[in-house]
Amino acid sequence: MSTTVAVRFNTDDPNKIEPLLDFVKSLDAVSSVEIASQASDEKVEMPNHAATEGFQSIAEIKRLYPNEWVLLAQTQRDGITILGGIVLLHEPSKRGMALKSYELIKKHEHTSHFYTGELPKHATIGLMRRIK
Amino acid sequence: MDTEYASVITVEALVEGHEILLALDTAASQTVLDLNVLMILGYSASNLGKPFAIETANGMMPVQMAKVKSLSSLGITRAEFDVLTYDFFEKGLVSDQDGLIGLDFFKNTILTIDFQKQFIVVKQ
Repeated sequence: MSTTVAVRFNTDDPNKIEPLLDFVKSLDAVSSVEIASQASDEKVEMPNHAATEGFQSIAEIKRLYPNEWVLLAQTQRDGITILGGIVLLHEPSKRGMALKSYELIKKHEHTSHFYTGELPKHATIGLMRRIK
Repeated sequence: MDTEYASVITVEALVEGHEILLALDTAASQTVLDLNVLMILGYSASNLGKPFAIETANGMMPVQMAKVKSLSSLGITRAEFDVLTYDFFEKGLVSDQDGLIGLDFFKNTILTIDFQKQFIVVKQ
């Protein structure tokens, strides 16, 4: 089992990037380091690696599957914000996604789901008390 | 911890390895998960507990009890943990959160919410 992590630098300066890459390469836990070209600000190009094949940024997923529920594997997050992942399934309804997800999530790690459209920010789901 | 949604504190959680977002609700005695999340994990309404009624902020809800193999959040993992579940979508509830994490999850812990520094500390 291996894990692939995409890192986006905020500079093109090789004098700043190369020392960091050299350090990462020197770590025992790192098997390879590949530099991906960056097609746009929205899409992160990942190395052609089995574990990351199909990785897409959140912006790309939203563009491809607007207003759909998406099941992801290899989810990458920053806190509660999803940055990207491998799309396993996309469906217009949450129920449709849920019904088809089980067999898929058994085969993958770091699975998650989210809606690519806008959802209400103030939905109330509080549970107060049982009455019966 | 994220308080972007007004007073809703959203926390990451893992239910049987699947990543979800839960609202931290200190007014809730029990943890609630959207039935659709349990369906993702292979549960179906027929293999959950007998339905009963609860009163929620959204009105009366028929809910069922489910026992999830594991639920983890904020550094705590609960095994064989009982949650209430109902179909959020069926009830017209569509939200970024997949449920709420209630006080039962924090039983026998010290829960500190620091709104100024925007962090939560849970000590067991």
